[in-house]
Amino acid sequence: MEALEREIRKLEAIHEIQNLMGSYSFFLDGRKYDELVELFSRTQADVRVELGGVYIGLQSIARLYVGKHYDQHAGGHYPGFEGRGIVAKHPQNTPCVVVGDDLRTAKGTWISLGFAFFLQEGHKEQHWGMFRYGADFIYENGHWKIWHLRVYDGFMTDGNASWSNPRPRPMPPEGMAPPEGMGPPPDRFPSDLPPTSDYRYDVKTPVPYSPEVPEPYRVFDPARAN
Amino acid sequence: MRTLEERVHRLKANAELQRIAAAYSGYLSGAQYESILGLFSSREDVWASMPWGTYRGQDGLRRLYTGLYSTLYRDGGCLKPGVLTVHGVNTPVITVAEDGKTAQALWTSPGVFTVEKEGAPNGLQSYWSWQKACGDFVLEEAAWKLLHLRIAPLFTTEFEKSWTEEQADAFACIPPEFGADAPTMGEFPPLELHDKASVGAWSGDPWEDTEDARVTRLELIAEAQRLMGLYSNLMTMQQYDRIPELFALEVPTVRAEMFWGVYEREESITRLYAKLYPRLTENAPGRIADQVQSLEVPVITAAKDCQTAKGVWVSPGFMNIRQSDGTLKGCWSWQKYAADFIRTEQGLKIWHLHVYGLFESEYGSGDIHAFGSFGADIPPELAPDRAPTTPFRLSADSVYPYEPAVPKPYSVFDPDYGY
Repeated sequence: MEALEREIRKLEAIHEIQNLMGSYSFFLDGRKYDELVELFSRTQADVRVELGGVYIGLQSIARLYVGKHYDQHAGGHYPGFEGRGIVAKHPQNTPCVVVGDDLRTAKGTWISLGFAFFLQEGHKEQHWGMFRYGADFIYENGHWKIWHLRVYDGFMTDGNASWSNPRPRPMPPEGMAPPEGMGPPPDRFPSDLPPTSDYRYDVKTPVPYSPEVPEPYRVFDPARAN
Repeated sequence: MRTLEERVHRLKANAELQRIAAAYSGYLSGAQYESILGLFSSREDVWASMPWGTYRGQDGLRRLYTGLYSTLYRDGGCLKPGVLTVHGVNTPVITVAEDGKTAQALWTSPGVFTVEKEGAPNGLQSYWSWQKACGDFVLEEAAWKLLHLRIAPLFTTEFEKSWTEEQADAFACIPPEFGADAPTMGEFPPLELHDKASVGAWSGDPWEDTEDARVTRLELIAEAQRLMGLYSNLMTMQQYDRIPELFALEVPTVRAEMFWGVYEREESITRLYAKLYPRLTENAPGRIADQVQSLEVPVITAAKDCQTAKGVWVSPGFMNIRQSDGTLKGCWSWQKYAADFIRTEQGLKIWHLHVYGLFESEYGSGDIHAFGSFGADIPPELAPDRAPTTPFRLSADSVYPYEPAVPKPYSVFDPDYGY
């Protein structure tokens, strides 16, 4: 392959990967879970998402988004509720995308500063969150797909309390039931494996350097996979 | 006319500058300060201008990153317990010089940080921090390097206070031995709006996927991103009379949809930006004193025929509303943007802009509600031409819709799917 063609393909890859992650964000917040699952590799048996626990394989990834996310974050657990008054955005910025010299894989990192609001009377909650995303991508059948996606734990505030000075979560007054259609449903879609790290932001723990900034590389190194 | 190689070189510069900015952010948040030094030029006229002063030369950079930052934030190989330094980048406006050897870039940088502070709960103080970051870059031995970096705060606020309240000096903890060499650098460089050569003059058969056509599509995408970055910055600087220049005013179907209505054609777009926005930001209670809407999570697609492009963004932001007692009320202000772009003789332009209000919230109040500050008292002569097409209003009973839809790859623009 000529050098110019190689450069163009790398630029196209960087752009397509940014669109992939942008689509992930719009689909997730817009509850388009079937479309979201389409963003993942169809050819790699070890396609996976680490979000709390690790979901391995396309069927598990569908369980995570079409099942668990719909159930727990879009009110799907409660028939007819449709997630009224819930709005969440976890957009990513700071894209750092590096394409392997063999043009078969790529790696990227992002920062997400977002929020989750619950607006229903009796269940008003406001959370601000910071997470980092690290992902590996693979080129298959003429398109780039997400291969490994890992959401690295950051923090989620509770109400108006800072992440470095959290307050205990207020309990509802005794005898007060959650409003109709609300309240945390049970996790009916457990992960295949527990998370690979038990890190969560707290004031006594050093924040690790993860995900690492991807450096230019020739061929994908499985030891450095997200 | 630029050769194909020159055009690819410029696109590579654009991508590489974004990677360097993100790498800087990643190294900073991971306490990898030695790696930050490697992003800078080896020249002696390098500098980094921070809100508290400028660090000049290689010694200055080492004093800042491996001296000051390392002392304040790092313990061994990683950050001290509880310390956090996360400064992202979005809203890029990147300009590569004609000779392809230097470039300049401007970003908005939303972030958070937590530092040790005596007497604070848990010995830590957390901040929200929004900044502008501007970089001058040079090409050295085929690699792009930072020559000058300017960081200017939009606000830095203790988490427990709004940014409009009086603040303790967040930078008072800098030990004298790590002080700056010089004051902060002055004004940011002015924004150049027009770059007619940013998209190649290619007009061949789009169905042949030639390198020329593919590069043209990449140029369209980069230019669409630049146009929206310009739009965001002009809105921040309240240079409203320059904004219509970003639009394809000569195209009869040009329009801008705000969440209070649609402004169609040149006259209405000029009315919106050159007349209504100065009114919305005049010095009177209830008006906007400052507003910053950054743009991130872009999904941008260029048409196969290379004549149009489409994109969507999420817009985290904030604004300060004037109060009757002369103070300001700080509010979070989140929106979403979608736009169609069209090639004109003056280069790529915004054809249809659609701004979706998401929520506004007075800082610290816990009261989240739909956009309502705008549109209530717009005089008839500045009113939109028609009602908005997106009726969604955030409320306790509303179901959040999937809008705007992300653009899919397409061949020729379909008016039925215009934003």
